[in-house]
Amino acid sequence: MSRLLIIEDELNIRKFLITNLTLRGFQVEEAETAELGLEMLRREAPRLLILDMRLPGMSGWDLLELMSNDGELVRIPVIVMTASPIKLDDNPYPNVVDLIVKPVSAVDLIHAVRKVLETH
Amino acid sequence: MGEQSVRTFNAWREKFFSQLRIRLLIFIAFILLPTSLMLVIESYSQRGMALDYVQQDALQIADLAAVTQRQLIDSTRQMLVTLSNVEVVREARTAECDRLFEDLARRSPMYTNIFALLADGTTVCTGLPGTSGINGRTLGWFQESLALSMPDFYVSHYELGAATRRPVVTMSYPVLNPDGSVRLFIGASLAVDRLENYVDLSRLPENATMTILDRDGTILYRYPTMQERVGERWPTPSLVDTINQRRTGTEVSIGLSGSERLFGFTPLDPPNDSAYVVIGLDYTNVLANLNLRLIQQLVTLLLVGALSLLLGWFVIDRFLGRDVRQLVQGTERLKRGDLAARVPMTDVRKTAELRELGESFNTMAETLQRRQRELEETNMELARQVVERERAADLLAQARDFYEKQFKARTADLRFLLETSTILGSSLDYRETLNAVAKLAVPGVGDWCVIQLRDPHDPEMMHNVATAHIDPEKLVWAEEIGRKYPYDPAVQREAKTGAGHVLRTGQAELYPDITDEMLVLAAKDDQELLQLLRDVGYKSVMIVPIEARGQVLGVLTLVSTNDNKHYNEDDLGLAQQLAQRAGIAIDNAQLFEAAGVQREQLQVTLASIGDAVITSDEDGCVTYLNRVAEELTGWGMDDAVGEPLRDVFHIISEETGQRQESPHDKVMQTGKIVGLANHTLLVRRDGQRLPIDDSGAPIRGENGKIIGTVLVFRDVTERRQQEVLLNTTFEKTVDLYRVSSRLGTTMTYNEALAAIEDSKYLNGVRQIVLLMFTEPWNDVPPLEYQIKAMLHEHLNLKGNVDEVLPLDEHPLYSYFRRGEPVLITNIYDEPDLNEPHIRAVLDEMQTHSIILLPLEAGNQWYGMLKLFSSSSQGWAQDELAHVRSLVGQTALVIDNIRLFQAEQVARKEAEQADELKLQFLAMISHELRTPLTSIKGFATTLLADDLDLPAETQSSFLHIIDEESDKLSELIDQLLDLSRMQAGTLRIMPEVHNFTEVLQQSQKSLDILVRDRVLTIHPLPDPQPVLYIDLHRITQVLINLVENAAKYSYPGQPIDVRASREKDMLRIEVIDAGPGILAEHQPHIFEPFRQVHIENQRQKGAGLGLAICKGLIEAHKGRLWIAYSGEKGTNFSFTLPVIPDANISNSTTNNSVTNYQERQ
Repeated sequence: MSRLLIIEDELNIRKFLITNLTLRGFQVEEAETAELGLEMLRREAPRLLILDMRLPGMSGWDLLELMSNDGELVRIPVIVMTASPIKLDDNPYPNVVDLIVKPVSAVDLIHAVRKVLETH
Repeated sequence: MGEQSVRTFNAWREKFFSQLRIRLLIFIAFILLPTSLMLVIESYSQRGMALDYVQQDALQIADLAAVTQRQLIDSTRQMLVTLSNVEVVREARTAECDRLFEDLARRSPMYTNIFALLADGTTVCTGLPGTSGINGRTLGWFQESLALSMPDFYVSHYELGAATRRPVVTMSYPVLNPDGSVRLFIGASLAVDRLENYVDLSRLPENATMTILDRDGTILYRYPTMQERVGERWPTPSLVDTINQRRTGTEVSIGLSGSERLFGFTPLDPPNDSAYVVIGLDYTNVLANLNLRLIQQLVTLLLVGALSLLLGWFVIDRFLGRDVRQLVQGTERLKRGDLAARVPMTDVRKTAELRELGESFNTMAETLQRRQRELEETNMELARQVVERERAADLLAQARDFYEKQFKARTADLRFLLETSTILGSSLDYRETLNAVAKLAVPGVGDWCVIQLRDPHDPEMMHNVATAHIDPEKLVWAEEIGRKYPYDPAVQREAKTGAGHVLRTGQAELYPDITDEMLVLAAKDDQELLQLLRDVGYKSVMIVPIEARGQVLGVLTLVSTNDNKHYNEDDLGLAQQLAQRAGIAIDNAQLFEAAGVQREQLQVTLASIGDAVITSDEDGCVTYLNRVAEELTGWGMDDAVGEPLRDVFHIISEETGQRQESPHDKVMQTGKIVGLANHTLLVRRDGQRLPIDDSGAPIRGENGKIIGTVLVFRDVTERRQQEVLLNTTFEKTVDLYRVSSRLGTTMTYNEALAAIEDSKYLNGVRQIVLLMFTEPWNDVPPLEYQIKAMLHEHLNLKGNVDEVLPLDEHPLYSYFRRGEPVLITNIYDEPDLNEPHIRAVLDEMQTHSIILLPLEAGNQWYGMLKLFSSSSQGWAQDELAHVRSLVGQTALVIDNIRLFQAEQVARKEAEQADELKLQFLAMISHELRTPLTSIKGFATTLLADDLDLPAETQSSFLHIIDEESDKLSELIDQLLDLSRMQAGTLRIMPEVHNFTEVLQQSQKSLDILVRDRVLTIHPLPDPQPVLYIDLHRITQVLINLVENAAKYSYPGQPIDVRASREKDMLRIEVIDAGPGILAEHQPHIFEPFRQVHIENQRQKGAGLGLAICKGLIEAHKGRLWIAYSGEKGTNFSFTLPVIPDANISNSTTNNSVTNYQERQ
């Protein structure tokens, strides 16, 4: 079963993500900050990272920058999660494969995750 | 379209086949189908069997016929053997024999004839009278019988009888002589066509035929009788071939009747096979019968099937369909959103499964309805919050609009002035310039702009020089009014207001609102004028003087016809600046024009001066001086006559001082008119020298001989002086024009100073310093100044560029004067400048004199220009005047630069504000979305149809939704507070309370907030001060501050709340022991816009709390500030005003409040 990592600082949003993904058979790991998330990325090498961009301390962008300079981490596909709509047109990060704009419905979330897991 | 109909059809098909009834019917149909198939197959096999049966029948009949024939042949043989022993026959006694044979034939009709032939063929006796003549040798059978090696019973082939022409088979038996030779043959012909008499042909099916064919296919016999065909050939040879080949069998072929028939055949006389019995059956008929039977069976089956379907329909409908339909209807209603749909459970007939299904359905519907109600409530709540949020957004938008309008108005003014100055610097034709100004003023400042200038010859008269109207069509009309009602000095002289008044007094006039009464007053009973004035639609008017060098040159009138535009003091200021710039432009242009006019006037004047005339004789002695010549030369007529011309008219070169050749000599030599070289000086008798212009001409006698000369000359002293003056003025004007052109293009202070230095009249100037006051110097001197620019920075008296310095410490402060330049001719004469360090700098700059020029623009004195000169000669008054006008230009340019820079700063600030606003909005958006994400997330999880969540999980999700809705609501409240604060509409509802009540009110929240921090509330002052506060709001502030303290400190650390009386204020302190706020963040901590950045670093949240707290406290006339923040922690303090003399003790709060209110 595919292992996913979620980095999201808001407890309830994290809970929402984990509940939905776990109930649908995904194996999910979670991290509250980008710093903890980075550690887990290196240790667990998940199949997919769902990354909130606005985090206390190191931001999602910082983490993406760090990943893009790491030969191993850059291979992990990332779904970026943000409350402010950003364009993925000139996406400088090759591993950012999809964008979830908050608020997101359970159906859209699962759809996005499945799509990424099928194609990457 | 095709796709559409396919889709419609598919939908219909699905719907149709999904009906239970239809499905059951299809099921029955499926059961009926194999039965029908079996029936058809069965019918076909029956048909085959029937055919076989018929064939066998035919064969049997054929066989029977054959057997019967054989039996008949046998019995014939016996008969013939018997007859051969009969004497009569043996002896061939013809008469007797004939009788016997006739008798026999009559009794046995099966025989056509019985006869006896001799071996030579002669008939000896016959049973058929009339046949005795037949010779046997012509008959086939006879030949055959003879041919037999052993005479014996012989059966001939079937053939047609020779006499009867009936199909017969002839049998013969020989009667032998004792020697064995044949005596005679006895024969009998058996008639085949009598076969029906022996064979039971009634067994044949209806329409059956029997035919006997010989080997060649000749029809020998046909039943039913068809005599005419006998003897004919069978029409289908293929059947004959088949019969010959197969001997016995059946075949389908065309029969005699022409229709297709089934034929069964077998040889009649095996093994001879000379004839075949062929039974023909009506094949079509047989098949038709069979088909009819099949159809009958199928119809029966269909009837039975239809009956079963009908029965099934009713049974389903009666016993199953209605219940299922109820369920379906219930589901449909549910699907349409009618959650009240239920299946009636009263019907006892329901089967157990359906009952169970119905009950489950009802349970499900109830659950859904309940869930729907819950969701509706949640939605209502959300909708309410969204409305609140939109209101908050509206308020924010209003605040933003207001700000933007303000900013735009300000920058528009600045731009307008910049444009004006650019236009003014661009042309020296003031009419053109003023027209440009008027056009610029419309529509920026007014809808109608008129510029009138004073008549140079009549100081009371004014003329329109420029008009502009917002509507180009009305421009003509406006000019028409100007012509129709020209400026009338006589009327204006008495006027207390209006253009004439402004021209006289130089005082600007502002009329924010023009009323009809004012128009009536202005029209002075002139109805036509009044109507005209009304038509113009005056709403607001400004009239400002155009001044230059203290003189009013004209007036600028601006009219607004727009209901929304009423002029105020700001607009008047703008108009005055415009007018001032126009004044300078006019002054410059007039100055330039005047220079040209003066030069022309001189020419005219000189021309009109009477010329001096001296005549001399041919020897060069003076003969005549006119009065002018006497004056110029200093010689009287009496003295001069007879004197040599060269003495009286003593001329020298202005340049060399040497005596010039006398014109007399030149004229005498050349005989022509000569002009003197320029720069000739006449030396008067008294030695004084005069510049002159002269010419000489010969005087001719009657004979044409030159008898003398006439000299005409004039004094050009005045002209020379005029010329010098004119040149100086002209040069100054050119200088001014040059400098101001250059100034017009400058964008920085340094460039402006460099342009001034370029002036030829500032040769000795070593240093120019531009100094600006931090505030305009109007009534009181400003406190500080800044040096904005220096020409050569290494030379400076004091201070650096942009350094803010106290004005009264400026070394030259005592010399600053408004409105006039100050000249310090010799710094060594000035005791104020004797201080050693000042003197040292001045010496270093080689300064001897200083000019101080005040900079004024827009009626404001905003700075000084200091010129340090090394010239010790001082400054001529006219030079100073020139410098002054130069400075007038510079002042405007510098003001322009100031405006330009101010505009840039304002723009930058606005951009920053915009940026902050955007960040703020992004932050707000994010903060609103965070709880929304949880709400939407869990709501959609609850709605997800692929998840089966246990009730407690669902409940926990609903709790999260509830919790996040609260957060959203709180955030919206905060935003509303903030926007109200910014719009100035934050309302508090104060009542009389004390701080204990605040603590009581907030206790519950505080207990939750501080959790593992140690909250200490220190004893309150006793007696407690009475506060007039909004209890709810102050509680909110306290909670917020304690929440912050908890947020920015660590578990286990103390949080202290203290209240103390400070004069007429109650001070409340909230102190934490956290790491403190960074110094650079402290000034911005209460700003919601800036807060974003700071809060972002460590803590989440919109960071609106402190901004709102500050607003709330200020609404209470109190103050909220950071009293301390550093290593020891942070102390947030706020004060609340105490109602004097109304102390309430802690225990008797309510009573005291009552007392207080009573006293009120």
